[in-house]
Amino acid sequence: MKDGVVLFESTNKTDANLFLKEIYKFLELNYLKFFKMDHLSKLGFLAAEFLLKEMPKENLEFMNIYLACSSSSLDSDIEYQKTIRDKESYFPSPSVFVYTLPNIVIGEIAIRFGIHGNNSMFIIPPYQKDEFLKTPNHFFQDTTINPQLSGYLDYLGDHYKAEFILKY
Amino acid sequence: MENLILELKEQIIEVLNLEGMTPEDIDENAPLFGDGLGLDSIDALELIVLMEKNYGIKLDDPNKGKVIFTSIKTMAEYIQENRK
Repeated sequence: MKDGVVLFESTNKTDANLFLKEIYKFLELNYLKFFKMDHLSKLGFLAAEFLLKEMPKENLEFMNIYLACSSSSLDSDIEYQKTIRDKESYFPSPSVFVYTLPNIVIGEIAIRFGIHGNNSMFIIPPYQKDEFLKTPNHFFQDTTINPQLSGYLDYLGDHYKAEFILKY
Repeated sequence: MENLILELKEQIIEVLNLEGMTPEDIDENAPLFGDGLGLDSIDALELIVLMEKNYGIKLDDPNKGKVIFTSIKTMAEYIQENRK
């Protein structure tokens, strides 16, 4: 949904990963690195894509990104733990490990759109979502007049949510 | 050797999440890094884990990696000679 208008509706109601793949196809993306990302990064990447895909390059370069989540990287932490829990079959996965920090999603968005502005990731309780989204720029000690992407996203198991706001 | 090459291609597609690719799409002589499959440094680490997990081969000398991971074919040849 963008500006109150439903852009895409999936018939699949249970498989969150499949839902993300469907959006990737809906957006007609050709970005193979997407499939290497963890769920949280895929979610944030797609949410940003809806808002930023038509933005002029000059507005993107110094954009600031402030995001918040509640479950942090727990979804990937659990996946990583699966690769190390068996002492007889102990093979830590490097490609899962790199996503065991929630701020990686900001990096994926920044790489995709060539963004070099300030950024921060906050971990907050879910009930503070609306308050966070209303947070004024000066809270982030941001005195610039650069465009800003702020938002709340969360992914754990099959529960997910992303709400992004673009200010410019 | 052909069976091993096919097996490797299937494993690499799965482990590296090469979405939409089939073994037929991968040329066993093409470079794994750079122009060929375009793999990155994290993928290289996954290939090292794959060799140890599936073939019992531990890569002690990282300098050898450049030669072993030149292509699927060089990887298969190394596995053939060193698998446990």
